[in-house]
Amino acid sequence: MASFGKLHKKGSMDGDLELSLNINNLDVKCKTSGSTTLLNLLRELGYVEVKCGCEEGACGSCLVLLNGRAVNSCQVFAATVDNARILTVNGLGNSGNPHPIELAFVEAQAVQCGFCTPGMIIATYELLSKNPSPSEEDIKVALSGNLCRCTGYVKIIDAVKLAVRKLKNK
Amino acid sequence: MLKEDIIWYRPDSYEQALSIHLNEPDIVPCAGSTAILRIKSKKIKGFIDLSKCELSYIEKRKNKEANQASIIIGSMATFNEVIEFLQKDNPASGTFEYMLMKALVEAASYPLRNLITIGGSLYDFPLWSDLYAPLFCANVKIDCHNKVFDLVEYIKIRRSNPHIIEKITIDYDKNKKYGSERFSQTTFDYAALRVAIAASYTNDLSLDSFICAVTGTKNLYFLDEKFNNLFLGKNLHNEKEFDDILDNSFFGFGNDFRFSQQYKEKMARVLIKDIMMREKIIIN
Repeated sequence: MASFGKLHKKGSMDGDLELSLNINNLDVKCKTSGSTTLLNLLRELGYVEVKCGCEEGACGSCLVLLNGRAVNSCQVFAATVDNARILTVNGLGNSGNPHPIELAFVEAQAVQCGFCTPGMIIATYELLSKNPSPSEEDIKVALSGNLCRCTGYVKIIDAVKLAVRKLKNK
Repeated sequence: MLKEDIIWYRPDSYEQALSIHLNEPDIVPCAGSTAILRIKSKKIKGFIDLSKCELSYIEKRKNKEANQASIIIGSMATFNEVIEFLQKDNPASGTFEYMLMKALVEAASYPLRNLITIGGSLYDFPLWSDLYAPLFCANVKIDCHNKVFDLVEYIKIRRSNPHIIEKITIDYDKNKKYGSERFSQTTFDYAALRVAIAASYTNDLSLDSFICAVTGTKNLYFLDEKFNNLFLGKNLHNEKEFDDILDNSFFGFGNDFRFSQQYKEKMARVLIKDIMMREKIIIN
């Protein structure tokens, strides 16, 4: 057979699949097993801001940016993200220097229990990176993969609109 | 449950990927991964990561005949990549591009559409597919390396013959009217059914071509030449004749935990008529 990369040999120990990743602008080398999802890998590595919700791609609490695209990390095999750029919500800002989208979510009171918020912010970040002036319909489509069981979405949509204004005035 | 000691291959070309799969059919291609993670079959010995095989291209081709056009889509192109490609030309309602774009938008939430691929969806063809019905309205060729199948042939062989889809070519008639609708419990729920229509008419407003495809039925899909022929020659102003055909139609739905068979039959008829009214295939 031609010489191409075999990442994980049959019969070898769990976790000997080597990956090089860039997570939140830091280069990371790690080992994992062939059936591990990106969600589980990130959480094992300590990125617990990526929340584990439904694990079937329905709730959006595990959203991360994978090479600039928002994806449900529970629906991605870790083995397929070798050399990928991954951004979690902690890569956008922190409590001392929050991102304008994070500030907008706080100011618009779009957070109650907070479990869905990392996914909502990642979805908003991708939307506003591509479309700085989204309509309300655009916002609803972009957040279509994010479920919130507390707020009822009105304040979340308000937060995205506020984030649009904040980013324009930045 | 998937095996823990799953093998991963990362070939650099489609040919390498195909040779791995043909040598050992239980080493399966992994495209968007969403279907594999749903099924999690124990039988799978390994995965072939197709991301380096350069199968994510999308291009539009003008045909010699002015009324024909083609879209060529690599099997690894995601739904969102296809949507963004089609959106560039801002297609109008009633065109094939608009129908396909709308169906893909409705297929799943935004982040899932960043993962779901055309090739994976064609292979998987779940009962709730939003892709197949619009494709039945065009002339689609599925290219599996030296073997080219039309949609109906492909559906028959896809589970029994080891293969990897390389690309699909969609040829469609720009003069036809196209439309598609789905029925589901909530916007991004799995579709209980999807209908799609392609039609054209003569100068005296009688139908000279008609295709109606319905997915979500017991046999996965309904595509019947005899049924389509019933519409031919009917005048667009004669709503009653269209109603009579639709009232006597039967698509072969089954019951499920959400909707009864009768309800889905009725909904399919309602949606078909809605599309025909919207696209002025029926003028009242």
